[in-house]
Amino acid sequence: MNDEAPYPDNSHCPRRAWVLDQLADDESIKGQCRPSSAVQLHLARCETCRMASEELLATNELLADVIAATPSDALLRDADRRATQAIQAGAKPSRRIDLSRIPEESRRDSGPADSILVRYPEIRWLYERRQIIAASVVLMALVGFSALLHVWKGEPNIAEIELKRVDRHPVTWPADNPPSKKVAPATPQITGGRFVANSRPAKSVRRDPVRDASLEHVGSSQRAFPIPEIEESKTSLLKTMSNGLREFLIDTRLTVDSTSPNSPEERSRNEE
Amino acid sequence: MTMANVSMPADEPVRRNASAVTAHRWLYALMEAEGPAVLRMLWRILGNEADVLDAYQDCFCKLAGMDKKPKIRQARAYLFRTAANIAIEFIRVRKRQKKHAGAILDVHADRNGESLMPQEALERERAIASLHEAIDQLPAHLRNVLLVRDFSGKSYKEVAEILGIDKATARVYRRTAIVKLANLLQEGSAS
Ligand SMILES: [Zn+2]
Repeated sequence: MNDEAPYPDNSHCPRRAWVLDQLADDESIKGQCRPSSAVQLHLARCETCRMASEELLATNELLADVIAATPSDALLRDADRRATQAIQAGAKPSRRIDLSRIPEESRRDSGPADSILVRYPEIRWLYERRQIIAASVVLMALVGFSALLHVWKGEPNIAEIELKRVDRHPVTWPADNPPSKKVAPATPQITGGRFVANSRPAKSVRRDPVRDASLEHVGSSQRAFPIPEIEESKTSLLKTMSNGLREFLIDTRLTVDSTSPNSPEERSRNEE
Repeated sequence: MTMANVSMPADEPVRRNASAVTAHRWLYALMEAEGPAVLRMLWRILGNEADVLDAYQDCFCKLAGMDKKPKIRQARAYLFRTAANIAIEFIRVRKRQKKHAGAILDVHADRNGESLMPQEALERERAIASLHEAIDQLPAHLRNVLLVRDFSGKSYKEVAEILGIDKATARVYRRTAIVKLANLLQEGSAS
């Protein structure tokens, strides 16, 4: 504190809070109502702090004056006797005040967080919203956990299910309700908390026996998708990819066959 | 002062009924251990014997009326916080009575409005009354630290134990209380 430059009058001194804190600390002034030499040095040079400290020093002096008063031993004996008699008489109060207004002191003044909050007041807003924050964290954790569970459960391949669905459910419109020219987009229905995609088929689906055979292992006709928008976009992407691959294979006159030769030896044997 | 009818010679030792001692053994032990500190606090806040005796009595009666016997550490905390609350309530009652009966100046003034007290004593009394009012306006957690620390004369370690906070917090609370008190007194003198 030796690099003290005098601050101009009425300006805000950045050390004001420190000065007041020092002056308010009974351990730093050691009951003498006199600030430490560092504070004294600053006060000698800083008009702002000097003015701000005057009221504080006056308060210190007033407090010291009040605290200097000590009750006599006789008063203590008298007080003990009267309190004892009152307790023995069934805890009879003086009735000078309404004792029911005095709270039952069963609670601490502050939680352990208070010491941190006193030192870091800027995080108080976080502490005050701690319940909302905790609830959000729990909610996010639950959502994340359920998403993980969903992945680990090993849901069947959506694309395969979708392709199978499209192929296995030919267009069977009721006779009294023929389809219009325009194909309405599939609308999901909610059943039992899960989304079920409508099984309205795509407009032009060519049946492919090869692909049908390869999809034979795909399970039952259950088509329950947790999030239809995501699943639909995934399905359409995979469908586009598989269609493109199929057309490429047809163009290059290659057949998709499980017995197609893989090794060069097998390939040459077939050519022969 | 309803207990005025049970006044006894001042030097007679405290006698306790055997059955009452068993029922409230913890309370008497507390009185013996912490009575002087509590009395000191009440005396420094209230400053007159009649109020101090009544407040002290009320304090132990309030604890005796508790449903459950607290643990020793809790009992100590209850005692000091109850004493602080009771002292503040006495100050509030006094303030209401003063408002009702007229300002402090009037109490000590003669028929012509001239003060019967020396000017210095009158100013001191006014300053102490403002201090009491300012203490009343402090938030409870700051006020309790100030009262237990300064008015009871407990160390920060004891303050921390009694109020269930850590030592550093107690010291910070005390400093905050003093700065707030100074502001309140300044506002009071300005208005
Ligand atoms: Zn300064």
